[in-house]
Amino acid sequence: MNESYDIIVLGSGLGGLAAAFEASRAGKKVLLLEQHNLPGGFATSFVRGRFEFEPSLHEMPNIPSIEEASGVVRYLLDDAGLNIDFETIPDAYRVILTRGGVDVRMPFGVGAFINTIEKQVPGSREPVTAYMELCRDIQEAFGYLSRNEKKVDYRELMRRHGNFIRTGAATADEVADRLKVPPAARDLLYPYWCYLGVPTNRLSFTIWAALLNSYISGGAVIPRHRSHEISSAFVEKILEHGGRLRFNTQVARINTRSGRVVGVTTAAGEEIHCGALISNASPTLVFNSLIHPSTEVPPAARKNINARKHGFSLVVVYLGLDAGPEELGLQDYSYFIAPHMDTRALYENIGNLECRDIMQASVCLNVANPACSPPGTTILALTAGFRSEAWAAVRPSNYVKTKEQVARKLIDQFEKAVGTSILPHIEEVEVAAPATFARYTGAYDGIVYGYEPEPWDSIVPRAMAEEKEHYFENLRFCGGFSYRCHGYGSSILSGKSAAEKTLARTGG
Amino acid sequence: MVVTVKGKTRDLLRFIFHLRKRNRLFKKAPAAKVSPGPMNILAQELHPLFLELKVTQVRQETPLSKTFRLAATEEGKKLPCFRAGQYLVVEDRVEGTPVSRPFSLSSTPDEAADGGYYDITVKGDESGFFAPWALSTWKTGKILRCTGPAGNFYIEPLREADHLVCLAGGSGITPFRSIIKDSLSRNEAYRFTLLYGIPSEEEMIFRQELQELRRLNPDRFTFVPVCSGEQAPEGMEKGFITADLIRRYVSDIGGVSFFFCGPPAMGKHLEEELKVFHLAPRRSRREHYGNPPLESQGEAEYSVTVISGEDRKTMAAREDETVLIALERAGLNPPAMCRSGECGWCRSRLLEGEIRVPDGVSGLRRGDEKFGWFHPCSSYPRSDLVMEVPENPLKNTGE
Ligand SMILES: Cc1cc2nc3c(=O)[nH]c(=O)nc-3n(C[C@H](O)[C@H](O)[C@H](O)COP(=O)(O)OP(=O)(O)OC[C@H]3O[C@@H](n4cnc5c(N)ncnc54)[C@H](O)[C@@H]3O)c2cc1C
Ligand code: FES
Repeated sequence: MNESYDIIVLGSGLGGLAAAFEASRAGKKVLLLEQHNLPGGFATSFVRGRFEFEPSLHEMPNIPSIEEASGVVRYLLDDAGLNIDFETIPDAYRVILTRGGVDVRMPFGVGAFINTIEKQVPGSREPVTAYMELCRDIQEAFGYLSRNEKKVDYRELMRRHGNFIRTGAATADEVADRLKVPPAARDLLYPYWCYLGVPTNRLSFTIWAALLNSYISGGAVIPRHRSHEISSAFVEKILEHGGRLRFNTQVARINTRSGRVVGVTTAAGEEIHCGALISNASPTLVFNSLIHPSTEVPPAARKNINARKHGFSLVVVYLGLDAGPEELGLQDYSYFIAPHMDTRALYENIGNLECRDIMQASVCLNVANPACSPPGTTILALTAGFRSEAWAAVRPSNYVKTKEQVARKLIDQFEKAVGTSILPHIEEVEVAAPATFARYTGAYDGIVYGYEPEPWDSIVPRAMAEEKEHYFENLRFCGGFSYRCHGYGSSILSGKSAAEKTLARTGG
Repeated sequence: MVVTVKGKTRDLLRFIFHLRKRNRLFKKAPAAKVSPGPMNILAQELHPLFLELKVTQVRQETPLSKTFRLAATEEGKKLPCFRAGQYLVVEDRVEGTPVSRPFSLSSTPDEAADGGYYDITVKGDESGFFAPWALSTWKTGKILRCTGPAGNFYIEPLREADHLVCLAGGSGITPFRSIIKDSLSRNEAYRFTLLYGIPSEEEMIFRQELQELRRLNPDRFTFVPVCSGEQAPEGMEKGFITADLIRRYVSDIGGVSFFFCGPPAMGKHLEEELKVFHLAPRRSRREHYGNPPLESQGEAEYSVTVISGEDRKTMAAREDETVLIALERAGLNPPAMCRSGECGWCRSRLLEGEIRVPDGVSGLRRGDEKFGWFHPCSSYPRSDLVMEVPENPLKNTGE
């Protein structure tokens, strides 16, 4: 069987789903290949007993306009027309710094957010307000870029959004220093750094500002039926458009000839031809193990990967508890718990199996989505960053034990910080480690985040260099390792734009 | 508001330079290949998609059951680690039809690590399909394709009480042999009370071994065979496992974890019996060897049409058999593991028609329910059906 498609999409993570959605909507003959038996990659769910767990999503920013850079929820609902029910998250987060005696609930809404910081750190209103205004400005500049993606007028950008250019090479800390944001205010301002996975002394201010503003100004939502609802809603539309989706089908090779992709070979040895390929698998995987023959890979493509730093992976402890959130004293959806908010030190501590001085970002699903589990029960997920190196010494024989020990540490940290008791209520528990993510998504080394977005490898440099770093004419990338960097919104929008760019070439 | 970081001009220069920095770093970087991720390798070691195993020994346990010892076909290849209580899915061609069935590992993780083997113990009579085939045709040297170990029926130290009350029925003894033997061999805090329901003395699997374990571990292991047959021999309880019987052997009901494994009908019976204890769900784990029985079973026959790309195939389906069995009878060999609605491996799309799912089966994702996906292994047809079936990843390596 030598089938042929206009576009093959490799991998059905959020990026691949969005790409297949857009390509099939445009009337192309599309094949989406997925090695797992589920769509979504990280955006999925799993069931244990009475509980259906959310594997990865903490929240999506709820920017009200599709015109804006992070208006991904509006894109899903209004533009793509997906059948997803979203639940609203009440507050931004509770930050508990155990060594600094900080325990503050941060609200959504820029005004309320600034007021709360001022109350905790008197005198910080002015710099924090300036900081938040600047973040707003950056986000608007992104909106301008998104609207003019096809042809950016940099002089116009400079005129309208000079701050965007002037802070473009800066780190999050540099801007905070410049605006004299006091350290105590940064304690409350910085917890979201862990969603980007780069300490604020190296983190691109641009991407940080957009993230902070989009959450705080827009609030956040989660899908009612876990992320599997988003993925399934995409699948429904792709099939409706006549796209084909094959599960349990791994791509073993991407066949290329003279700088062009001609098709793929599946693990079962089946050859399928295509006019263009959109890969949700990372450049790391594609250029190191999938392109065939490997001599077709230009050295620049591998240098490009080797120059970058792969982001980290996670450990998540998923807990189904047999007591309701009220009984457990869990009033907050999102908990950021750490000894302090020195992001550089927290980043250094990522991945120590003793869990010494680490930060955890934990979520009580029921607070935003009360019907997510039966009455009198709670779903709690404790998450901490881990580098795979920490697990490299763990062998299959002590793997389960190691996971248990890490889980105990994270549970203990949570119990002490929040002043609650979790252990006696565990009805279901599952611990995901980097190898778990590697198993289910095939991601290189189980990495959850993409390449680290330092200023020189943040979204703007990546976007500007995209055509230059485009090594195969009819191969584009989407997902967390692509130009928009990682995260749900970025992955989805990267898939959309990969499809649009592919269609523009093939005349769609 | 105009913000500068290092000064207006310097900021602009920095902006330009940081784009150039990208090129500079790329040029400087090595062009070497990145080696495979250690976590991808670990995941592969822990959870290979399939294993090729060879029967190296066959032991008749009882008139109706045998233990098959399985080892890697590849000399010196390590078997994946597992958690005592997990199962393998074994595939074979039964009278030409490719099918698979789950079987709990009756051997322990240490036996796999040190001895290089897995044991599965199969019980069956002529009423079955796969089991009698296995019992009559599998001989030493037989090669079998299996999944890696799977399932969630194991001791979870973060949850379990230190006294486990194990209720086994028939072949449901298999995971307990592994769980109990494994734990007793370690210096763990767990104590076990095993109530083992059997139809007759001769159908008691692992009899000697369990008695020996009891003799060696009098403080940690209480073993109570319960025989439902006409003549229950000396030293065995008579009848079925009931709440009263459990009470006689377990004084601290509130402080134990219950584990049940066996046929679904027995599971249903025990569920009723255990009601008087008002157990918290976290104190009650179960592994059903199949679906709970349907309330009412008709004998109607329907058709199932399976769509795959451009192809359509129509087959018969009985109201009293699962959709999965209908697909298997037609030789489709769709993916399946737990066969009891929990694991989601058989997840398929229902395009038209109506199905019935027995009470108490709950593994379907809510998003799947919303968008019309279902688990054929625990669904019975109630009308003609039109559906899509995912490909079987094992098929790729099939004969
Ligand atoms: C997690 C788990 C662990 C298990 N562990 C063990 C274990 O350790 N030991 C053990 O003995 N059992 C175990 N079982 C049960 C085991 O998997 C089988 O269900 C059991 O062996 C009976 O299988 P069977 O095919 O003989 O009968 P069934 O599956 O009950 O047969 C179904 C019926 O359908 C018919 N049928 C099915 N397929 C076809 C076909 N293709 N063509 C024609 N007719 C067909 C048969 O005639 C039969 O009437 C376990 C089950 C589970 C879920
Ligand atoms: S095989 Fe496990 S849910 Fe159907």
